[in-house]
Amino acid sequence: MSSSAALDNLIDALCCLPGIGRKSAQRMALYLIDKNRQGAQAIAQNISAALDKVGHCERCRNFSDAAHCQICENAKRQDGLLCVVETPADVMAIEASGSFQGKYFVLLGKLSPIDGIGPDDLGFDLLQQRLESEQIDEIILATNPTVEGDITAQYIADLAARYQIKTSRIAHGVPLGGELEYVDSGTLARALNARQLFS
Amino acid sequence: MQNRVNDQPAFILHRRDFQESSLILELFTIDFGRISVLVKGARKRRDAAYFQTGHRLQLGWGGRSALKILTQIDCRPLQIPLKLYSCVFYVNELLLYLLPREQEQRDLFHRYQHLLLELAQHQADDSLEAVLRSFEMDLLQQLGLMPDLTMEHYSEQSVQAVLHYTFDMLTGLRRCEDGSEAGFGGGELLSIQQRRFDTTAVLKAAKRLMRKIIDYNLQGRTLQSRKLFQQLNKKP
Repeated sequence: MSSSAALDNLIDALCCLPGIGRKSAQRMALYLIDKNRQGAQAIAQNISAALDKVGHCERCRNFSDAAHCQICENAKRQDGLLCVVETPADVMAIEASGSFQGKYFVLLGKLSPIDGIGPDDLGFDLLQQRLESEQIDEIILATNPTVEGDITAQYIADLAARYQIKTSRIAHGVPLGGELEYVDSGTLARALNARQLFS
Repeated sequence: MQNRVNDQPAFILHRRDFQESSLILELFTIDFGRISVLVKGARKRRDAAYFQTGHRLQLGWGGRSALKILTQIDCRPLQIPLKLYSCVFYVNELLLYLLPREQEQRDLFHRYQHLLLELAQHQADDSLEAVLRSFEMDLLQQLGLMPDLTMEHYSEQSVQAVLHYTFDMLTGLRRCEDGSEAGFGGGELLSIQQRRFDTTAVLKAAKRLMRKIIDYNLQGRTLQSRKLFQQLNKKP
């Protein structure tokens, strides 16, 4: 307990961040109040603004300030290429790779039978509407290569097949710079099965 | 329970994300039955692919509390077709709800392993119904929840193939005069007891009976996997 109730409250509030315990929260709070009040002001304003403005895009379910997100509104991106991912963090990871110029659909989860997460929780009705109403040439299934991610991908592939839309799955295999000796057998088996002609 | 365990055959029944990159695994192990294990930084590990349901694992862990800490993992992957994972999830959920914690269930462990191997070698045209019913019976039998299908509960008379019976969890099998739809044929009951699921009628009766017994023992809980896969089969 410190000499200030407001400071204690700030420390308690910072503890809600992932990976931040009481000691780290205390260090952050003291730094902000003691050394960087301007930075603290900016954080407070930005958190407040983000909470007010950020919702979900009506087309792709990614985070957005407006009804449609910047990616969906970007006319330079290909409308016919739709990449389905599990979380907004996955969109950021793909965007950071700079190798995709299509649009996204964010499930905000994955089919997880034992947790009771089904198609209704993942916006499949919205995805189906898009498949019906838009001219989509290819769906790239970029869900995680876990059992649940694969089941989710399978479900979407079945859905796309009803509209005769081509589906592809992102490749799984040996990471760049990795060594075969240290790759697990399941990944190696997938990499061998999905080998490509070398040119 | 021992403080440190090594080379323990195990299967993952369920995994839950914990904090930023860790996992909590619900395991079915050969010597300790169902236990929970924390895997720190699991999602960033090189062997992250091992932490999936349906793989044969050899695990080690330490710790005295109910949540152990994983110390060792080795994996022999099983190639179960994706479409059959509905069965794996269903069986896993049954085990999660019905198995008591930290209680050895060697026979059941071997039956579970056998079931997964059967799923991995499954041919598309074989029916899975009989395999699943048989496992459900094993599970209920091991836990002492499976009623005797060869004898009426109160009268202790043997079940006759030509007669009809009703089944209730509290009153057991009871002869009914007319063959009502909710009832079971004596012949069906005897076939189920001997696990001869060779006709559609026996399979249907077995499914109805097992569901009744399982639902009673779930004490009001709904099997999410059953609900989900009914939903998936209906849609899209």
